[in-house]
Formats: sequence, C-alpha cells, structure tokens
Amino acid sequence: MSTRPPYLKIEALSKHYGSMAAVDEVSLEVAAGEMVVLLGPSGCGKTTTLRLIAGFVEASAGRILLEGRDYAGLPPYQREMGMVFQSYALFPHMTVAQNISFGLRMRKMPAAQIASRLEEVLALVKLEKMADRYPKQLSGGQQQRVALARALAIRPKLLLLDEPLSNLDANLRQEVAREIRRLQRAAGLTALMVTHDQDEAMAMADRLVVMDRGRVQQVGPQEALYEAPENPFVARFIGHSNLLRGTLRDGCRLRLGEGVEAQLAQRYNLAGDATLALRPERIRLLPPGDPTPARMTLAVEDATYVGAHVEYLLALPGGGSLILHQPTTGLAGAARLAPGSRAGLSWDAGSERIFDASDRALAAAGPAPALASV
Amino acid sequence: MARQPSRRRSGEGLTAGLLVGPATAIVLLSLVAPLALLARYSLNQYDRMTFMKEAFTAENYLRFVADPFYAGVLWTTLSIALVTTALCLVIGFPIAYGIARMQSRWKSTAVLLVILPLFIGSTVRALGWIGLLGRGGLVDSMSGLVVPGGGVTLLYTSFAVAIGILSINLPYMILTLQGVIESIDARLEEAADSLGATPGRRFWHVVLPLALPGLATGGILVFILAMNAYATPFLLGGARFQMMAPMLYREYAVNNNWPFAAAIAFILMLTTLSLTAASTLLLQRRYQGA
Ligand SMILES: Nc1ncnc2c1ncn2[C@@H]1O[C@H](COP(=O)(O)OP(=O)(O)O)[C@@H](O)[C@H]1O
Ligand SMILES: [Mg+2]
Repeated sequence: MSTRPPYLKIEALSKHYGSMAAVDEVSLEVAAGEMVVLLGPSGCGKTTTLRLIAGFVEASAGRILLEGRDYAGLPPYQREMGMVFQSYALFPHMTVAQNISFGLRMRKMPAAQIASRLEEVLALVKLEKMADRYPKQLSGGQQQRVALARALAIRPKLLLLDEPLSNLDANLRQEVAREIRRLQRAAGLTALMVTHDQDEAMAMADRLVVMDRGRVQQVGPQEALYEAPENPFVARFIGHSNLLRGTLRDGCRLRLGEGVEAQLAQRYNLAGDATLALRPERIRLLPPGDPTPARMTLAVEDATYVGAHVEYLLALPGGGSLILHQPTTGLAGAARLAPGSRAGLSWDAGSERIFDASDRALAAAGPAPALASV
Repeated sequence: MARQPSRRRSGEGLTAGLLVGPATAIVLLSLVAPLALLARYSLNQYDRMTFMKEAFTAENYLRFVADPFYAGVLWTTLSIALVTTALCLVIGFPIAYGIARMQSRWKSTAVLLVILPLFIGSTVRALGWIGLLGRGGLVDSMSGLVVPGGGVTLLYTSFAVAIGILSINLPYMILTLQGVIESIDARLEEAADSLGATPGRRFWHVVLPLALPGLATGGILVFILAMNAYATPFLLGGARFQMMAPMLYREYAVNNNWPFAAAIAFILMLTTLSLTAASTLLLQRRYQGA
C-alpha cells in the first residue's frame, strides 16, 4: 500500500457478549478498490465483524473509519454500505425489480433515474428477463445475483458480503465467485467478504485476514499466508500443514519422541519445545536406493492413490500420522511403498517452518550443517 | 402465494380421512346441528302462551330491521367492535414487535405477562374496571382531588365498555402478532436498513406488508370476540347501553322470545361473518403477488 491514508481503517474493534469476546481487538486497513476476505472457522467472529462495520451491532470498543470519517453512532441506514446476506434476505413481497430499486427509492431518486440504474444493474447481473419475478420463483443462484444487484444498485461506499456462496450448489460456486469478482472490479468497489471456506477465500481475495476466536491471526496476500504462516493455526488452516511437536536441540535437530528425530534444513536460535510445520506436498518420499540423506525416517501406515497424488500416512511417535502427498507425474508404474516399510523423507529449507513454545514463527539463523549420506 | 403442488398419495389421503373423520363428526354435531336448530327457530312465531309456535315466517328478521332501536344496537356493537379492534392493532403491534425481537432472557417473562390476564375471566376483570371507573372509584376520587367537587364517573359509558373489551382482547392480538412478526426474518429489516431505509420507511415498506396476514388474523379474532362480548357490556355498559349479545340473552331468557332471539343470533353471526370475509378478500386481492 502507498502512503495514502487507507480507505477503510478498523482500529482495535471489539464486541463482547457477556464475558465472551466475539470480536477481540481487530485492526485492519483496506485500500480503495481492494477485496479483503475474512477467513476463519465457524464462530470465530467473522459475521460479527461485518455486522459491526455495517452498523447492525454496536461495538464494545474500537473505531471504524471510512474515508477518514469515524462511523461510531451512525445508524446503518446512513452508512451507505451494500450488504449481501448469507441468506440473501430478499424482500419476498417485492419483485426482482422492486428489490433492486428499493435502495434507490429510499434515496428518493427520480423515477427516470431509477429506471435507468435498474436496467443497468439488471444487465450487469444478467437478470433482465427476471425483473418481474418474485424471489421464490428464482433459483438459488439467481436469488444470489439479485442480492448482489440490490447491494450494487446503491453504489455503496463499501460492499459487505457474508458467506455469499455458502448456499449455492458446489458446481455453481466457482462461477459465482468469478462473477462477484468481475462485478466488484468493474465497479471499482472496495469489498469485505467473509467465508469459512479456504479455497473460496484464496480464489477471491486481494488480501486475506485469518481469524480465530475473535482475533486476527494473520493478514496478508495468499502467498504470504501459505509460505510464511505466522503461527501454527494459520499453517494448519491455510492449505493444511503437518504440525510436529518436539524438542529442538543444537538448533537443527527436532526430537519428536522415542528414537525419532527430524534433521532440519536450517538452524534456529532456540533450544527446547518447538513445533515444525510441513506441508504434505512439500515433503519428498525418497525412493529406496536414493543417495539423498533422509531428514527423517518413518514407517508407512497407508498409501492411497487419489489421482493427482498418492496420499501416504506415516506413523509418528505418540500415535499421530504425518500426511505426505507424492505427485503422480512420472510415477506411472512405480511401486508404491507398502504399509510397514520404512520411508526416508526429505524437504527443502523453504518448506519447513518452526514455531516456538508460544507459537511464534522463528526466523532461520542460517543453513544447517550438511547431512551425512546413509 | 404460490400454490404448492399436492404430493399426497391416495393411501395417505385415506389415513388422513380416517383421522379427520371423527373430528368432522364432532364438529357437525356440536356446531352445525345447533345452528340448524337455531335457523329453524328463527323462522317460528312467538306465542304469549306457548312461547313458540311452529311457523315459516320472516317476521322476526323484519322486526329487527324495521325497528330503529335494534338497528341502533347493531350499530353500537359494530362501532365498539371496530374501534376496539383498531385500538388493539395500534397498541398491540408495537408491543408484539418489541417482544418478537427481544433477545434477552426476559422474553419469556414478557410473554407470560401478556398471557397472565387470560387466566382471569372477563367477569372478574369487569368488576375490576367497576372499581376503577365507578362512582367513588379510583378515577372518580382522583379527579375529585384535582378539581374539588368535579368527580368523573366513567362507568356505564361506551368508553367503559370499549376499554373493558380492549383489555380483554389485547393479549390475543399481541400473541397472534408476535408469532407472525417472529416469522419475519430480522435480516430483511437489516437489509432495508443497509439500503438506506429509515426506521419509519422500513416499517412501512417491509415489516407492515409482511405482517399483514397476521394483522388480518389478529384483527378478525378480536373483532369476532368484541362482536360477541357479553359480560363486559353487560357489567360495564349498564342498563341503557345495549350490545347484541346481552340483548340476545335478554330476549331469550327474560322475554322468552326464542324465535326473535334466534333471529338476532343469526343477524349477529351473519354480520360478523360477512365483514370478516370481506376484509379477507380485500387483503387477498391487495397482496396477491407476495
Ligand atoms: N447476538 C449474540 N449474542 C451472543 N453471542 C453471539 C451473538 N452473535 C454472535 N455471538 C457469538 O459470537 C461468536 C462469533 O459469532 P459469528 O460472528 O457469527 O461467527 P462466524 O460468522 O465467524 O461464524 C460466536 O461464538 C457466537 O455464538
Ligand atoms: Mg457467520
């Protein structure tokens, strides 16, 4: 982001229900025209954050600034934020056209202007032929588009979308996701979207905000979250990671349990409890006879061919399993490791991530000493 | 409303028939039979000696229509019923809305407070109003304090009857409306809100149209109750204030004129039914689309 002040600025926003903090000191900056997606498990406070911004619930603490203006105490009907609800919330007693023009009528826009705006928005969402239908005469996807059109029609200062795809059939989701993105870009709208679906968030966002238990865990573009998660929660929530707990010695040896040790690719200035995060597709399975020294050796529990890769489950000390994805490209005909056999594993320096006992990510202090060949 | 295609199979229809059968029989016996008898009575003739003489005459109905006194009673009844129904709607809606949208743990207490008066019969409550509104009652003595010697006795006025009926009918209205308002998704109101509708316009364009079926149901319910009110007008209206149900009882029990009482009963019933039907039709026509 440039040095311009952010379009939307949220400062230490909190919402308490009784003693429970549904939203806990959330801070965020959004640039004009940006699409930011709030991502997190169900109940982590995403919807509440959105509703705080829309003005439907009053904040316990914190500030919301849009174009530098403090929105505290401003009723929702003066905020000019277009909201798309999870349930769409279309007015059942109004036609598509009446639904879409509702906000314009509330603004007392002249009839001729309403008509032209309506036509324009209907064309945008490709619902020209449905203008006189009632919501219940529409499919889920069409209802979704009406909800979107209704929010777009008022040319909102901010577009708020609460799980806009969750009520759609799986095969429609991608299409609608692209559609929302196209409309948002075309209108140059600043948008804040909420979802619990990681793929959806990755596909739609300019930047993501990962939330857990009311708190922001990490903010950043897709790549930063995937490559450099700041804590184990983000590592597991974005793209799944194996989280291996152990004791770090000599800065580069992680003892996982009874006779099992991982030789790390890098050195860290830490001794004691640590967590190693490894992504299933970033671990290599060393074929028998491969001269590469193994960073860790585990017993194969199970191997399943699932198309793009073979999914291996490898036994970890203490009962858990490590998941490893072996790509199937160039693997045709190759023998799979049978359950019970021991497998040598390796990974690159950039693929390992170490967290300390208080779940903070550690920067590497340098490469680890080379491994001796077996 | 969109018509739902019937998905019932014939087997289910048979079972349903068996289940509904006895209920239908009971309804027929307890409702239709007395009504048929009443209809027959209303065409008989009054006789000073035997009280009722077999006949086939419209004279009882004609008497009601021809005598301005009876028409006046019907008119009084209608106006009291319409006014109390309107007041029930106007007073009941905000209360019902408040309860319906309540989220705190006091909600069930609020509902209980609304239901509570229903445990006390209308006669007992009328006696309460007598204590409040009668000579030497609370209102009388209070106003006597403000303006010395100028006490107000509201008992035996149409005001007393209206307020008595209103207090009895209001809980029914509130409970009916509360159910309907709760069925309106609160998100719809938020949607209206976010689209720039002020609270007043949100109410007018979203809440009211969607609550209309409930307003009609509640309105019809309390209208029927008011049209047929007996104890309240009897106790709070006094001798000079006439409404249909007490008058009907007097013709039947005091004057022993069963044919005329039967005719009054039918006129009351038909007036109530036709007004109810008319309002329903009107609403349906207005809200066909939704
Ligand atoms: N009106 C409310 N009263 C009490 N608790 C609430 C209320 N609204 C939300 N919560 C709680 O706040 C937490 C966050 O809810 P929400 O923002 O809806 O989560 P998400 O949208 O991420 O699934 C949940 O634990 C939920 O139970
Ligand atoms: Mg939610």
